[in-house]
Parts: sequence; C-alpha cells; structure tokens
Amino acid sequence: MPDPTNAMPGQRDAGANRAVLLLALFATLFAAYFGLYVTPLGDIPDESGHYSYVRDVASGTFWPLMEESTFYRGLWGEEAAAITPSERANYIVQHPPGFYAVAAIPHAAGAALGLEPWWLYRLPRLISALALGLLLLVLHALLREVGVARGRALPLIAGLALLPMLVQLASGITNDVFLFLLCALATLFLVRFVRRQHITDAYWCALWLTLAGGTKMTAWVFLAPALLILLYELRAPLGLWLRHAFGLSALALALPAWWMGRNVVHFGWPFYRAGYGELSAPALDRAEAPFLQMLAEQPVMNWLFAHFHGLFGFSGYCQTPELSHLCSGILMTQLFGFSRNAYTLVLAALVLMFLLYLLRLVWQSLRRAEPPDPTYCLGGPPRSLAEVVGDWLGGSRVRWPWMLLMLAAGLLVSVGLLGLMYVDFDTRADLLSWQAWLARRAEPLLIAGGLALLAYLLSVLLRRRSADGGQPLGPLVRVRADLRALRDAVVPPGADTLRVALPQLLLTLLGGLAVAFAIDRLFSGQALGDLQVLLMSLAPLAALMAVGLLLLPQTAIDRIAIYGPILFVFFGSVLLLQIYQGYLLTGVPRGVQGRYLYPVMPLLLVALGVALQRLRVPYWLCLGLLVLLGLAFADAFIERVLPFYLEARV
Amino acid sequence: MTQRRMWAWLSLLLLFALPLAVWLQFSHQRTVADYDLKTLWTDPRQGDQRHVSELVAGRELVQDLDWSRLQERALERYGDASVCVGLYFANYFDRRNRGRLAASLEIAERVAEDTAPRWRERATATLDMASIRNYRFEPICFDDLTLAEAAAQSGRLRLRGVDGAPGSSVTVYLARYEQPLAAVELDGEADALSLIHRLQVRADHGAERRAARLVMVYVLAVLLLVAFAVAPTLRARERTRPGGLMG
Repeated sequence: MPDPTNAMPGQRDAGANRAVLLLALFATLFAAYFGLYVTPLGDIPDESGHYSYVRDVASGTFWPLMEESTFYRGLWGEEAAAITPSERANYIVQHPPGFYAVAAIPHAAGAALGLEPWWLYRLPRLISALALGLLLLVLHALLREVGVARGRALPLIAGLALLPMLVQLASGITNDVFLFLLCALATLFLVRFVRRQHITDAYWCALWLTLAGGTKMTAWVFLAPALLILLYELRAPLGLWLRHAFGLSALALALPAWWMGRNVVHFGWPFYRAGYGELSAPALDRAEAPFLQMLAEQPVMNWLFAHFHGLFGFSGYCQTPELSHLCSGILMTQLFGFSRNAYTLVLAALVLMFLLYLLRLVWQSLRRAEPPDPTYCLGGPPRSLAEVVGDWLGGSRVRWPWMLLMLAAGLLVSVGLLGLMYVDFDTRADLLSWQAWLARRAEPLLIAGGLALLAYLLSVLLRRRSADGGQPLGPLVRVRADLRALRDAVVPPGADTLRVALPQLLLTLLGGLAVAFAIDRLFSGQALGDLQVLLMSLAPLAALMAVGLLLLPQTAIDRIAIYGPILFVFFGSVLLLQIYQGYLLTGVPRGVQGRYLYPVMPLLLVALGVALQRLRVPYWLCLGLLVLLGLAFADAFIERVLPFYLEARV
Repeated sequence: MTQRRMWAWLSLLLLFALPLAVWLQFSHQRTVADYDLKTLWTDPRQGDQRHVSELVAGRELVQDLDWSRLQERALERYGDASVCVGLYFANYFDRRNRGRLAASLEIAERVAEDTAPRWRERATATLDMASIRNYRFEPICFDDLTLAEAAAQSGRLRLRGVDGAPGSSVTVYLARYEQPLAAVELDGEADALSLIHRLQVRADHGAERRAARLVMVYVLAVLLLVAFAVAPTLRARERTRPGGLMG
C-alpha cells in the first residue's frame, strides 16, 4: 500500500501550498508589525550602520567605501534636518551591496514622497519582513522538491517561523534574512539540478549563489562547496563538463570576484574587513592561546547555540534624545529559561532522528550489493563524478573498511570535541577525576538516556508502521495500534515470566525518570548547557558519516541529505576559525553569532526533512515538537524580549 | 475531505486551541501586567544576598528610599505617575502561601533642620502572599501617590506581615549594594544589609501589551494553521496516489 505519509518528490500539493502561503503571510505581517511598532530602532545588531549604508545608496552613493563612509548622527530622531553625516566611519560598508541596493528602493521612494523620518527608518525594515515570508515559501518548495510530505514539511517550516532570532531579525534592517532567502533559492535550484539534471537549474543555482555572494561575505563560504556539488553531480561528456564547469564557476564567482577585486584595489587584500588594521598588534599570541584552548576555555559552542536561538538588543535602549549621554555601548540579552530549554530539547530530538537516518543509510549501503535503482542513475552514460565514485567504491571490498574508518574518525572527533569542554587546560584534573565528572554529569547522562529511550520507542512505532501492510487504517485504529506496539515494546507479548519482562520494565522506568529529569530541566531556569554542547559536538560525527556515505552509491535524494551535515561542518569550521582570529585580535571570542550560519541552513533543513521522511516520523510527533516551539516562542517574546526592551530603555 | 469530516476536524482543533489560548493568556498575564511599570532605579550589583525568612504576622521591615538615585529627568518625565517600589521576593519554590502583607510609604516631616524627622504614613497597599512569585521583583504600587509627591521629601517603605503563618508565608531578600544604601530595619533592629528593591512608576506601555497579545495570536494562528493543514482526514487524498520515491 502506498504510505499515506509518503509524497512524490517535486509533486504539487495545492493544500500545502495554500497553507504555506498563509503561514508566510502571517510571518511577514508579524515581522512587519514588530518592525513598525515594537522592535526599538537600533536594536538589531549594527542597525544604525545598516541604515546609514541604505541611506547612502538611496541618496546616490551606490558603492560607499569603507573608511570614507560614515554613520549618520541624529538617527532615530523625528527631525529630518538633524540627520547629518558624523565623523565615525561606518564599518558596515565592508559588506557587498546586494541587500542595501534592494532596501534602498523603499527608502528612496519614501524620501521622494516626502515621508517623515519615522517612515524612512522603518521602510527598509519591511524588506526583511518580506524576505522572511519569501524564505518560508522557498523552503517549502525545497522540501516538496525532495518529497517531504506536508505533515513533516509544514511543521519544519513553521518551526522556522517560530524561531525567535530569525523573526526578530526580520523586523529590522539587516542583510541576514535577505541572505538566508538568496541561499535558500540557490539551494532549491541545486537540489533540483541534482534530482533532474537540467543544466538550466545549475545556472539558476549559480546565479543565486553569485547574488548571495554579492550580499554578504559569509555566503562565499557556502558558495564554494555548493559550486563543487554542482560540478560533482554534473553528468556530461568531459568537453561539455569542462565548458559548464567554467560557465557555472564564472557565473557563481562573478560578484564575489568583483568585490574581492574592489577590496584589492582599495585595501590591498581581497578579504579585507573592518578591524583588519589591528592585525599588527593582536591581543593574544597563537602559541599561548591555541585554537583548542579557546574552545575549551571560552563558551563559544554554547554562545553559538544560544545566539542562534535568540540574542536580543543592541543600542535600541537609547531612545530618549535628552538622555543620550547615558547611552554608552550596547545592551543585549540572550534568551533563557523555558524558551531555550524547549528549543534545545526539540533540536536534540531532531539531531537524534538525523543520526538514526544516517545510521540506517550506513546499514543499507553496506548490505546492498546493487546500486539503489531506479533513482541512483537517471539513465545511461555520461555519468557524474558522484556516480563514478559511488560505483567504484560501492562495488569494491573497500566499502566496509572505508565506512568503519569514517565512523571511527567521526566518533573520535566528536568525543574529542565534547571532551574539550571538560578539560582544564592547566591541570587536566577534570579528565582524571571520573568520580567528580560522573557526579556532575549524571543528569545530562540521564537526559541522554531518556532521549535514547524515546528513540527506541520511536523506532518501535516506525517498525510497526512499516509493517502496516496494505490495509487502510483510520486514525483511531492507527493510534490504538501505536499504543499496542508501545506496550509490547515494554512488556513483550508472551513474556509470561517476570524474568523476561523485568529488565524491560526496569529500563523503561529508568528512561521515564530520565524524561522526567528532562521535563524538570525544561521548566526550570537551568540551561541545558551540556546537552547543547553535546548536540554541537555530534556535528563532526554526522559529517564524517556523511562523507563515508557520499562515496558509496546513494539515491539523488539521499546524496542531497548527506551534503547537509558536510557543508554545515565545513561552514562551522570556517566560522570557528574566524571567531578564533577575532579572539587573537581582541582577547575575547568575536563574531559568535548563530545567524552567521544562515547560508547553510536551507541545505541542513532539507537534509532533516529527508531524514524525517525516510524514517516516516509520525505527523503527531512533528506537531508535538512544533507546539513546544510555539509555547517557547511566546515565552521568549512575552517573558524575555518585551520586558527587556522596557527594562533597558532609558 | 467531506464537509462533515472538515467540521469534525475544525471542532477538534478548536477544542485544542481553546485551552491553549487560555493557558497562554493565564501563564503570561502577570508578566504582561508588569509591562506597565517603568523602572527608574535599579542596581544589579549586589553581594551577600540573604533572605529574611518568612514574613509571618507581626514581622516588619523598614527601608529608607533614596530618591536622589532616580534616573536623570525622572521627575520631569514621570512626576505625575503613581509611585511603585519593587521588592525581590521568594515564595519557597511555589509553595501554596496564604495571608497578606501590608506596605506603607512614609514621608518625613521635619519641624526644623536639626530635629529628627517625624514619619507620616502617606500611602498604603496590601499584597496577597498567594500571588507572589518565586525569585521575582513584585511591585508594590501606591496608586494615590505620585512620584513627584513622594520624592519631594525623604521617604521610607514599611512592610509588615499581617496574618501570615509559619509554613505558608513568603520572604524578601536583602543584599549589600556596591554603592551603599541605608540599611534595612528588621523587626526593630538595624541590619547590615539593605532591602533589594527598585524604584518604579506606573507608565503606559500599550504598544508592548499589544505586542504580547499579537505574539499569542501569532503562535495560535501558526499552530492551528499547520494542524489543520496536516489533518489526518486530508491524507485520504494522498492514499490514492502511487507511492513516491521516498518509500
């Protein structure tokens, strides 16, 4: 029987399209309302710099130059004449002008209509709000492209619409949401190309990649591997392959190359950014403060996690002109409490499912003798590099040692990364004192145990659903069957002696206790910091497993899914190195912003969608996680963000 | 989807939405009510914190208020607003507490420069201990006293347990401030620490209150929309399609 939770890749679904249109409309209106009436002006990171850039472009200075362009003084006041260039250089013009060219349009139109500064400050914010709505539509198209059923695709998309940081950024002037949208478009065409092999999709992908590269330099880190995927997947005879490789590279690199050239002409270095001048006198020495020590001693991983979820405030507290002398520096707050804990647990569940999917894929890849037809190859030759490599390694005896090597390497790196967080670099005492370690870590271990139990029960449900056979089942029958399967998992049928049933009962009791701990942590003010670090540390394991899988024969959709963690870890590593560079310069980790990960998020989201679909994760579980995110979103804004605005404002 | 099934599903969604809406409103209403407070002085830099144990009937604290620490231009901007004092309470981890606390704001009347001030009760308020939250600043507002009137003279806050019993009363926290404040008088004895407090006024923050309501509406709308779109009955159509590549 066709699984009702199944979907055809690329299939149209009018009902889901209507729902996602409404969802996008809700999110856009919400962000626009916050942009107009709630988010204090200046409370998006560097918003006065972003606004000054927009104002420059709107008034005809299309390519403002770093160290020449300045912030405007008198910003956020009602008096138009008071808005004049200041002496302070605007470091935000280090960004390529993609977003600013678009955001300048409503600003220029507003100025031409003679609108008051109140509107001029806020009109560019609407571009971010619109970008959020479009982003949700594109991501939905992306998930449909790989055949994620609406019962899984919609909760995933809605989860993003309930991500506090993203919604907050969509209510302000910033290039992040716009960049997210461009990268989602690039990913959509990348995925289409991998699935369908239409060369026009590859060129569309390259076009969106270059536009993303012309919007923010962080996109360059996504652009390079995305371009490599295009070439790796391109099926063409060698001559044509070389021609397309040149064409795609030239198109994808056009705007970044222009921006690099401009940087070379003006500053002598293609990757020049604000603060580079200080490199001559770094605060820390590489030998004294090695990279691993920074990871061990600074809460970089926790910050990245927390700031992806929500880092609010900036200079918006300074809203009273007559008290501007009280405004010094920035005021920010992280989200914490229920909101962050709920988000952590939802993410933990998703990461666990993704790892389960990868493990299942490993098992399937090692067991099968033939390539996974019919979706592996679209036809006869020519074949792509992906297919050539897959055939070679998949058909050889090397595949087992290769996969085991990748698994072992992944485990080693992940355990090493996790272990780093608990090492005292001076004494190394923490590693030796296992007793103390266990005492401190008992609760996270229990939580991890609880999640493992949930995974076990989930796998029981999935097995049962796979074994449904051909009978159509009503929802009530389905739920009853689910419950029966869970009962059988705890007390096996036919277990007439306690000897058989007791261990399972004890295990379930222990798991239940662990879940209770997790729930207790969820509602208490304690942050699930250890769990967050554990989740971040699992990324290399997922990525190395994915590398192992990538070189074995996979269907196009599975290849798309396994590109996700690889690109995420590549992108994250570059980001960590940038943070380290800032650490050496200033003595504190700089640029620890979760939003910098946005370019790679669409591919990660599609990977997650494929995992949920492959595992046939029940709709009710997706909806349950979404409800938790919804409550967390309300908690974030009502209990933390709005009180912070009121508390901080002078 | 048939008309009947659609209505059945919509009813089910409403049954889910109604308690969710009530729960959202209920769980956040205290915080939203506090939006109408503007803090004009608070100092987070404190040390040596300790609580005073339960504020049972008869126990009393007196804390001098230092109006000179109010934010610049506070009187100019908020002089006409009702004055409030926020105290840092603990309720013994959401224990079921009962009883009342009486608060009064006293103002000094000096007959001459060199004489001790005579304290006159200027405004009173009552707190229900059952509604005091754990580890939170709870405001005590004096609705018939404006900030300008209160800050015109020296002032002090008196907090007294009215009818609280041991085992069901709340407590407040004391601390040593980095910029020293007058010490609290606890049950008639001078203490070394000061009452942790904030000076506040009632202000209109309608935009934020509307924003909070909008957040609730947005969350409900998103959840209901998704729940409706993935309704099990809608899957009936998908069953008629052939299995996809994701099988």
